[in-house]
Amino acid sequence: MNIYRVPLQEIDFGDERFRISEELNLPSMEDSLRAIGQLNPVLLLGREEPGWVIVCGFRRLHALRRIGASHALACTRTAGDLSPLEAFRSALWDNIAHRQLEALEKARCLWTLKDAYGVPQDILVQEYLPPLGLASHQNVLRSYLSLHRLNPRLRALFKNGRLTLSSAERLAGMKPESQERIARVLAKLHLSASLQREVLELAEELAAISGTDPGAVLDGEGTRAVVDDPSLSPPQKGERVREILLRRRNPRLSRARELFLAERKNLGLPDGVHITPDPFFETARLRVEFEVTSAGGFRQLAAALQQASQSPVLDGLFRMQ
Amino acid sequence: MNMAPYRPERIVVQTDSWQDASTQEILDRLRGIPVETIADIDALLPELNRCSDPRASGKRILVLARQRGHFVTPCPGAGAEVCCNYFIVNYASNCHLECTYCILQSYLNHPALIIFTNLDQLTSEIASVLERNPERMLRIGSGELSDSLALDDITHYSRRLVPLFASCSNAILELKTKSTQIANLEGLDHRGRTIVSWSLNSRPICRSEELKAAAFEDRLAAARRCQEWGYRIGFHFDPLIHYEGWEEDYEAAVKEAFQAVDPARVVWVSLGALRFTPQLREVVRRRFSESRIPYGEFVPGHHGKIRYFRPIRQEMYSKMRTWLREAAPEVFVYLCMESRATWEESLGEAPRDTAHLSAQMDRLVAKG
Repeated sequence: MNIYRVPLQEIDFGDERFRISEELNLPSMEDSLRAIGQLNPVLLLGREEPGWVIVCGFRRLHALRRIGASHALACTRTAGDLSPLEAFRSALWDNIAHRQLEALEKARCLWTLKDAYGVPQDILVQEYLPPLGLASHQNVLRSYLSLHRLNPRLRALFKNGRLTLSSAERLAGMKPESQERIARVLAKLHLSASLQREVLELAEELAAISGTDPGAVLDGEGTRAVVDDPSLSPPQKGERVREILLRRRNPRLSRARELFLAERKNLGLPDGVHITPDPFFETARLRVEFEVTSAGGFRQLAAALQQASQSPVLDGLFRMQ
Repeated sequence: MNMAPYRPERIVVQTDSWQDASTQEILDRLRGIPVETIADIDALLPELNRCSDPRASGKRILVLARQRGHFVTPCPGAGAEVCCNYFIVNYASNCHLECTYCILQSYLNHPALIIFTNLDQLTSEIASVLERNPERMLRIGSGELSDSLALDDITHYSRRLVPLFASCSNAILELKTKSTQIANLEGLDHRGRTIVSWSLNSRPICRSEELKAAAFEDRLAAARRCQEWGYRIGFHFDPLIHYEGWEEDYEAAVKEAFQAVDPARVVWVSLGALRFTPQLREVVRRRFSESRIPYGEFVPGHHGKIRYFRPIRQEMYSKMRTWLREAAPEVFVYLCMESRATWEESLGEAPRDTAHLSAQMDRLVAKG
């Protein structure tokens, strides 16, 4: 295999048909090239018109260009001896051989194989998912293919670990406008994995109920005030948004809970006593918990409980069940 | 009074079903449909699971197989605080009526529509259950894993079961249906031992959520015909579905139902608010995206199912009870899978326990 010094100006950086890497701007790559130069040649495919298309080595070539290099070491192929699919497979295997691909890169590969090269889905499942480190299953393929439809801002959130794969998949199925509105909101919140699932599900359900889209729900009037409130931290915002959506989704249950809390307060029990209802008010069961650290404290508490037992508010708590 | 009869695209006979007479009888009624034989019906699963909607594809395959487990089992409601203590008999598995809320979508392991062919085992099992419970009046129904009558034009099983129960002194058969397949019931000597029940809903729900079931008025016409043939009938308003305007629609449904039939020959009416598993909710969203059913105000409930928040259920039961009292003051009304507290809050009274409710219902059926 011959290695050539190819002028960078002959390379078409805009043709990304064989691109695998999500991130092309790697400062560490620049440092390495500055320190010891290019050790491994890239792979280029000759075009019909003069010039070259990048097959393997996007990140090296971009780094060389950024540090002002004029040439790159490259192996070259012609369209006659390397078909587009073979070229893409070369890029894929070259990347898999030396690093773990990110989820978005896997999504890009699978999408390209399916969309640009017409590889059937069952072949993708059987032959491509395992080398990408993914389970050989249609559902996995579906998840990853959906990522490719993700709005750029949501992609960034996913890449930064702010969105789980299942959330990203859920969002990717939404309309672009909806994704854009949700991206605006999610960028300002911090949601745990379970909270993401809950908030997105609530938004979808409320959208279905009201005939709008989830973006309009999540970026609506009620939530916007919370999202834009500078006095709240991102996790606080996340929790508040969840509460707002939950109240809208389950108005009766939320009202029952609020009423219960208000009535419980009216009972005037000391702070150490906790009364909790059946979480969904299915039964009349109330849970009463208290904690004391001395006999005196116990007596005081018992007296407070005795007093509460005479209050009509107590009957109200049970009537709410 | 016609609903489209079930006609599969292909029929698969499990090898050992060929020994059963009912296999050939069913095939004779479905001439022209391709038939194949397989040793194990699970061999169909890979093919079905590759389909975009395995549940829909499965229903287009009729499987004739032998029941390898028990035909007769206690109703799964038996774990509830107050339960009617019912037995179920399953001679088929799955249903083609495509009700959006159908629990079978998330319950059955095999998506094909299966008819069990070893009827001799079925009848001997029923006889054995009756022998073991001589002191009880058993209520045995067949609408759990399939509609009791929707396939009867193919199976004619009612012609075996109705006479069987006619000869029993301590059991009645309840056939629960949303269909109009009642032709086989005509002329049978049922001796009051078979109750034919219709699952009813409001007209809009019948239209939008019970996609291939008989129209509301057709079910009532079939019920009236069965009464003319001397059968006692039942109505099951289950699942009650909460939506804007439900009161008007359900009140009308109750009125129409009891105008269509003789209320005195309606043995019972059950009420059950919509309940389903969280998994089913996902299935409904995926398969029936137009359905509004998954968007009620639900809370977790009995057996891992979700159901409407209790005040919603109570309001529905209470209003239904009022309308039922107006339309049929004497009819026995019971709730399915609800607690005593919910009975009391909704109906103003509650059975003491399962035994009490069971005894009440046993007396009703014993009256004949």
